[in-house]
Amino acid sequence: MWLEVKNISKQYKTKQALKDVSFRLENGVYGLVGPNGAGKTTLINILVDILTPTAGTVFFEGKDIKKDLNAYLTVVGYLPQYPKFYKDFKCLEFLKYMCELKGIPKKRREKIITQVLKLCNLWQDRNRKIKEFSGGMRQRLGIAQAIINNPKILILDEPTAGLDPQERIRFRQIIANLSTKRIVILATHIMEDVESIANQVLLLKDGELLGIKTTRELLGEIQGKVGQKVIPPDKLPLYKKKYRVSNVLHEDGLCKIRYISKHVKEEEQVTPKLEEVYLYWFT
Amino acid sequence: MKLLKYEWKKLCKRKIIWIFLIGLLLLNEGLFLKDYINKRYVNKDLYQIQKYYEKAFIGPVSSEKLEQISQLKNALASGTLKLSEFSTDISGDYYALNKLSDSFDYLSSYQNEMEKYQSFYEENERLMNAYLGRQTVWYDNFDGWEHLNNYQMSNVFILLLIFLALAPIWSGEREEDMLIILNTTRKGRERIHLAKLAFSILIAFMFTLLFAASELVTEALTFGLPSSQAASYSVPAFKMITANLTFIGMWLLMLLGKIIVFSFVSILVLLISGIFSNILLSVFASAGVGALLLFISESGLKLWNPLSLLYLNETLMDDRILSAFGKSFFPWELNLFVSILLFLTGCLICVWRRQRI
Repeated sequence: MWLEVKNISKQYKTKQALKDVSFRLENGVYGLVGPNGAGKTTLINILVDILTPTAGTVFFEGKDIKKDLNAYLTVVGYLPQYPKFYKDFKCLEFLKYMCELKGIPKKRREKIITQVLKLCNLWQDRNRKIKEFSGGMRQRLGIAQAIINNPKILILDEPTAGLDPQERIRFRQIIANLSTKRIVILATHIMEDVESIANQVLLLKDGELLGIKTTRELLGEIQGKVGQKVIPPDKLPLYKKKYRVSNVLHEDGLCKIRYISKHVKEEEQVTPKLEEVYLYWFT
Repeated sequence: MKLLKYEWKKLCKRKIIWIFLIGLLLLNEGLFLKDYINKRYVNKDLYQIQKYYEKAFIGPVSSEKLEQISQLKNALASGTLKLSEFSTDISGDYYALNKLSDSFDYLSSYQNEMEKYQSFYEENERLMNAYLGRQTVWYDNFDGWEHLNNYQMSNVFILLLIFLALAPIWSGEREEDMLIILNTTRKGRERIHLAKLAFSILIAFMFTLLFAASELVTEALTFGLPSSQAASYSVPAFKMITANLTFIGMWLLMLLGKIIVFSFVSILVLLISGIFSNILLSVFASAGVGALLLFISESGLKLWNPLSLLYLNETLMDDRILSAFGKSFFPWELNLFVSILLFLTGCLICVWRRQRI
C-alpha cells in the first residue's frame, strides 16, 4: 500500500503555499513537521481532496485519487485541528452518524463502534454528551471517528495540541496501536510526539519539502552541533543573538544553556534532542 | 433518508428552537384568539344575541327569510318584538338584526350585481369567465372563514422560526468544525447537500402545516368553520375573488402559497448559511434578506417576489389581467408561477453548489 504525491503546488492569491512537493509513503507513521505557515494544513487538505492543487497529482496505490474519489474517501480517516464536533450529540450518537456518513453497513456498526470506543478509552463515556468532554476526550473521539472506517490512510492534524501530558501519552499509545497496516500522517510541531511514534519525518518549510528522514537520521545530522555551557546571566542576550538557544536553566545565579551552532567545542557537545532538530531546520 | 434523520437530530437538540416554537405557537394562538375573546367574552351578551338570530336563519337564502328579517326589524322598531333572552335593551337585537339583514342583502343581491359587472368585462374573456354564473345560495355565519383566511400574523412567526432553524445549517457545521470532516466522508461529500436541501423544504412544510393546523383547529373550536363548501365570495371581503373557490378551497390555495413561499425562504436561508462561518451572522443575514423581501411585498404586489404570495387573500381580489406567453393571467397566477420557478431555481443552485470548506 502506498500513497504518492507528485509535483504538488498550491498557489493562493498572493502566496505560494506549496512548491513542487513530491514524496511516496508506505505503511508506517510519518510526522509532518514544519512551523506555522509552512504548508502542512494545505498539504493535508490536498491529501483529503478538500483542496485542489494548482499543479500535481496525488496517487493512491498508483491511481489518481480524483479518478475514483468515492473509493479513495472510504480508505481515508481524518482528524482536523481542534475539532469541536456536535456538542449536544452523545458520543455514541455521533459515532453512529459518522458510520452513516462513511457508509459503514448497519449490521457491522455496533461491533465497530464498540471496538473503537474501547480502543480510544471512551467506552465508559459513550452516553455522555460531547460538550461534557475534556479536550483530551474530544481528541480521542476525533481519533475514534477517524478510524471508524478502518482507514488505510489516517491523517491527523495537530492531534495533541492543547492536551495535558497524561492525555498526550494516552493519545500516543492509541496511535501506536493503529500504526500497523496503514499509513499514518501526523502533522505537528510537537517534536516529542514525533520522537515517540513516527518512523519518518517529512520536513516542510515555506511550502517546500526539505526531505523525508528517520528520527535517527535527523538526530545524526545535528550530532556535534548542540552544545551546553554555563554562562553568567548578563551574557545570555549575547548568546541568544549569536546562537539558537534551545534551553535556559537558571541555577545558582548562573545560566545553563543548550545551544545550536555549526561549530561546538568538543567538551561542550551534548546528545541532541528532536526539539533541537526543529530549531536547527526551522529557525 | 438516514442523513435526513440526523439533520432532524441536530435541529431537535437545539433548545432555542423548542423555546421559540412553543413560545411563538402560544403567542400566535393568543393573537389569533384576540378577536374571538373580545367578541365572546367582552361583548358576551351581543355575541349570544347574534347567535340567537343567526341560528334561526342558517340555510338556503330565500325571499321568505329576507321578508322575515324585515318583519323582525319592523317589530323591533315598533316595540312589539319579544327580545332575546340575553337582551337587556333593544340595542343588541338591533345590531344583530342589522348584521343579519346586511348579510342576507349581500347574498341575495350578489348574483344580480355580478351580472351587472359582466358588461364591464365583456372585452375580457378571463374576467367574464371568472365571474360568470356566480350565485350565493347559502347563509351561515362565515366569520370564522373570513378571519381564518385573512389572518397574517403567523407568517412572521414562521419566517422567524425558519431563520432560527435553518441559518445554522451550514454555518453551524463550520462553527463546530464539522464541515471539513463531512467533506472527507463519502456521503458527506456526495449526499449531505441533498439531505440539507430536503430538510430545509421539510422544515418549511412542517412549520407552515403546524401553524395552519393550529389556526384551523382553534378557529373551528371558537368562531366555528361551518359550510366549508360554501363559495368564498359569500362574504363581502372576498366579493371580487378572481378564482371560484370554496372557503376551504381558498384556505388550501393560501396554504399552498405559504408552503411555496416558506420553501423558497428556506432555500434562501440555506444558501446564505453557506456563506457564513458564524451562526449569529447567518441568522441576522437571513433575517435581513427575509425582512427586506417582506417589506417589499407589503408595499404592493411584486410578481417577482415570492413573499407576495403571503398576501394571496388580497392578491386574489386583484382583477387586473396580465399577458404572458400569449395568454392572460391574473396577478396571483403569475406570482404563483414565478415563485415556483424561483423555488425550483433555488433547489438547482443548492444541488449544484456543494458546500466545501
